[in-house]
Amino acid sequence: MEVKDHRNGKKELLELQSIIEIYDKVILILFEENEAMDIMAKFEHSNAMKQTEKNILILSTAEWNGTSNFTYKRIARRESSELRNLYYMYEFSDKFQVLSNPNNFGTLFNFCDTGLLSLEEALEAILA
Amino acid sequence: MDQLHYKEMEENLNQLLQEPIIQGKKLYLFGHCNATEELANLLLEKGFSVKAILDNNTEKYKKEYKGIKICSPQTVLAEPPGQALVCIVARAYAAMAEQLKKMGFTGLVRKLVDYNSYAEYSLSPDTIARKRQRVERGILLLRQLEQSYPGSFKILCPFSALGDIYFVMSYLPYFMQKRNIRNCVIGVIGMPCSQVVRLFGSYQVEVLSQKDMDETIQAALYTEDENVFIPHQDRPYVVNLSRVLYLKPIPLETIYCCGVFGLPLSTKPFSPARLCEYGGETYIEPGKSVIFSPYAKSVTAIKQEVWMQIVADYQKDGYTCYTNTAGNELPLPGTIPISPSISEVQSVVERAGTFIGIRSGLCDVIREASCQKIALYPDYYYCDTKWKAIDMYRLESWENIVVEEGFQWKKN
Repeated sequence: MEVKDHRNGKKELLELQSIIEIYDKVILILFEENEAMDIMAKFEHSNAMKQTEKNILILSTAEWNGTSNFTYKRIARRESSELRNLYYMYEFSDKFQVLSNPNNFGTLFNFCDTGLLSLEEALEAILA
Repeated sequence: MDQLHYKEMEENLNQLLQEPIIQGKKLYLFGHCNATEELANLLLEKGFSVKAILDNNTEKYKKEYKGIKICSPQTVLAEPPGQALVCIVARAYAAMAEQLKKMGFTGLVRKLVDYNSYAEYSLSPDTIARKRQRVERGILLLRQLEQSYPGSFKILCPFSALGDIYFVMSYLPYFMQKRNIRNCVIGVIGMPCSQVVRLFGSYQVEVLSQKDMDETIQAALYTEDENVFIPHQDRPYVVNLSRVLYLKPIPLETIYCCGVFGLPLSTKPFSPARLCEYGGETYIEPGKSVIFSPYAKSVTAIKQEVWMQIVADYQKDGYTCYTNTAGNELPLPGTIPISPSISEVQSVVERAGTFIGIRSGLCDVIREASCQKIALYPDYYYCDTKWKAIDMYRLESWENIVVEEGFQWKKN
């Protein structure tokens, strides 16, 4: 498998650098459109999101028109994939998080599936 | 702190001490943990004084270590520009260095141990190029692993901790069943961890260095390798399970069962099946001996005087006292060193009759031993949470004791 040379996308890297500096937390949602929209709706109505003083940016390929206490940016699939690849290459910031349903490690959503957390609580933990 | 990391820290510190930049600087350490205490010990031994230990957990500010106050990272800003040096031996080095920079700290920040090769908070072309090469090396390592164990699913344990491996092995058979995995190879760091794996059956085990493990795991993440699973609660950085602790205290074992493996809370863990009788030469008087285990890698230490109180109390009652030691570890004064293998420890404590240890992974290994078992918990907060060690690690059917400041031992 080829490991992409991300240095070629200088403009994108500058943009990423800039959003990491502006926002307290950047969340990339890698779920498919319907699931991503569900998560966004949960975020929108969650008390944690309403009460947070953090400046939060959520990125996803889904179309979403809600309003909440966070900034939403719809990104192209290619951009989502680039960010995903960079994130899985190394930890470039502790402000950047990815929400997905990976096969090769456990996530907070497992606590929801096993009844230890509600989805609202899982999202609260993500924002904490 | 394990011996390899300790050696790395000592070498880096010696190198730093030879540099002129340290002269006249006020020394600060960042992140109160076992490794930071080890660094403080080293510095104090060398005659340096440490101004403070910086930490983000406000719950820790009431405490101190060997007279060194634990306080807010902002404290360092009180020093005149260029007059302070902050040393970091914590896993979150990159985040800590970034935090100091954002706070406006312009002095020197030094990493003395590379605990976390995954993180580098930079998007510079050089950083990306190095990290890309690191993934490429990892892909080769993954291929080698595949060639050595063809067709085997790979369980890669990212951290060398006996307790973590114990939990992994306790629940792994259920996970394999759930995923329909027929056979697997368990990748671990260090021989002691491989011995814990073998307690649970005839698994294939591959012992890797920390560097190779990190690179292999990074490659598995990058390539989304479906034949790899990384069973840990907070390593590497992509795993967010421990964030649950910002909301509620969930014991580590439950985090493994439900969070790491996604198994129901009612799942009954497997027990070690391959225990051996102690075959060493040290005679242990049955029922009238105590095995002490005062050392742990990742929890803060318990003061020597506490151990000495307990040893004296048992000796007064005619017990023979032993210290379980490994490598360069010294026995507690007045006790006999004993070094059984991991698979023999249970038989040793059962023969002795009493086990008293700092709450470490060794306690997990012998958690079901038939004898009096006492776990001592240093009075510290688990990572940056508001939960104490005992909230995370309490052992059923053990006597669990928190060692607070001014602790006086009293036998039950």
